[in-house]
Amino acid sequence: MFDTVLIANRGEIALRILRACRDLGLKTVAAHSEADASLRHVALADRAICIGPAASTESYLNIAEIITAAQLTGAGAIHPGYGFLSENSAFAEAVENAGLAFIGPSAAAIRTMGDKVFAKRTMIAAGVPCVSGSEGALPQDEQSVCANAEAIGYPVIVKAAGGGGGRGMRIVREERALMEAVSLAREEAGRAFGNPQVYLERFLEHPRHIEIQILADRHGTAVWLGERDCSMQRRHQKIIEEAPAPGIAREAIAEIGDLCARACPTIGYTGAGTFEFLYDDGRFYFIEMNTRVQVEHPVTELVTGIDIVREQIRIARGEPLSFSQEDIHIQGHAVECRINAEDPYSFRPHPGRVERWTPPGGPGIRVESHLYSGYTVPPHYDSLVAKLLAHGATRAEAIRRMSGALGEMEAVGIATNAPLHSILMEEPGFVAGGFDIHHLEHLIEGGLLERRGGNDD
Amino acid sequence: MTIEEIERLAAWCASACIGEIEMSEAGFSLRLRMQPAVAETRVAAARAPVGETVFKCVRALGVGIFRLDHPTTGHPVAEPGQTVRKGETVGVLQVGPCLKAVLASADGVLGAALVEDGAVVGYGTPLYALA
Repeated sequence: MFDTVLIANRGEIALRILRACRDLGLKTVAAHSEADASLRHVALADRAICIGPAASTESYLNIAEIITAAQLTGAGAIHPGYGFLSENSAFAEAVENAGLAFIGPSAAAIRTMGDKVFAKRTMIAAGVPCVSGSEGALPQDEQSVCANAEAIGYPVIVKAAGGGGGRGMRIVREERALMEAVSLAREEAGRAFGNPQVYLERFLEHPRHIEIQILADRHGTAVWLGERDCSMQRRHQKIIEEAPAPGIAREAIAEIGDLCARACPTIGYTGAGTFEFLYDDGRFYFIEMNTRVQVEHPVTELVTGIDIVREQIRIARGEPLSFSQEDIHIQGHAVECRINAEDPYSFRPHPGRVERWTPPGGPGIRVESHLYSGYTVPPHYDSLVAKLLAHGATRAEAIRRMSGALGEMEAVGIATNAPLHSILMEEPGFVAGGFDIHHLEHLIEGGLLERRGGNDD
Repeated sequence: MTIEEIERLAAWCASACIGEIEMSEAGFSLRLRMQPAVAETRVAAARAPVGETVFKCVRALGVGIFRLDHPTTGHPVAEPGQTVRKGETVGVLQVGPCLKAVLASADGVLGAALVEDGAVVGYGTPLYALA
């Protein structure tokens, strides 16, 4: 059994993993890039080793160097964190083949859930609801296209089988517009992707992003730890997450949570994982599974009292879960704001030297950050520099605490999006809760950030 | 694999303009890295500013165990005080069954080794001062 964990990541999550290892009495090795020698977890780890230059392709994505580093430093396990190699089945396999423990699911489970078509098919077989759609590409004849749309139910969206990025997509609300949309989409798809095949999917008008956190051990036990509402997004990037999801019946969450937990043994899934859903009109639609720890995992930790990263490591050590589904209770409400080193209004990245870092504190406040006074945020990586979390007995209390914490936080020398979060904490739609994933984009289009300076995006 | 076979492999690589090749069989692996053409090195050396004041050193280009003595011969690869040319092998980095040459990054006189034989080094670890 391993007693040393190599942390193959950077920033706040590397520090988070280090702390979980320390709590379990495990030693740590920080594998870092040349640009990251000054990171907090590098200083705190039992041992540090530089695995390559700043470019992540040559360091945090360099499978051979990471595995060599683990072997030479006596680490028996590798924690991939999130991003980088965390959902790379070839990496998980290489770690397994090197005789090391991968702190995450098996390579086979990562591969299964990484293939979207296969994942969807697997989920349908496990009884998890998915967005209904045509089985594969649409046929040519009008009658069967109409029958397909009828079976899915309007509105439907016509999508290019070989495409993405919105091209070749058409929303159709009634049958008489269907054939024209399909032929236009075929033409556009043929031109854009060299493949005129299109398929139909039910179009969700106002979806929310709701996800279920699960933990599964290697002894066949799987539990779900409630949900997170991550609907506050900009360009598909989550910026605020909360738990529980406002306005959704606990029975509905329990039903979908049970389905997720029960799906784990059928796909051979172990470790921590997240089933992501769109939620529209009272129904859940599976979109994808994240086979790793997520940025927003502390939201769930605050309302359940369970240390997800520690459980991940315990599961990788072959230990059984120390609690059962009946032991999990949701307490109060938690909100997380992702603090990025970026201009709050133009969203431009703003790396640089942090002259002074003063994190907020007080009852119900948790800060996950690698910042310290004098630290220089390098330009090579993701701009996330801190996660501010607030926990309260009620949603209103959590939001009030978050507002206070945002006001207290000081990161002199770099720009952060904290002012945007402060605006959102008082925005009526956010205060009411239950908004959809387009809410922030609509607010920005409606002039939320105008006359606040720097809106030159 | 015999020395003759390795020589033949190196010749093939040179004629095909292959910069680096790695091969492995059970219990054995080999990596060949072709040095740039000698003429090119001389041009670069000629252009190098005289009286360089920046701290020059030979750094590790990857993770591995640093060997002062060549693991197969047991003899030191290079001696302190030795004059070396850019691209000359001055040490060995052992990565599992592979041996990677540590090359001088510039012309100069090799200083004392900055890490001990057998030390685990990472990318960029200074191995020798270069005067």
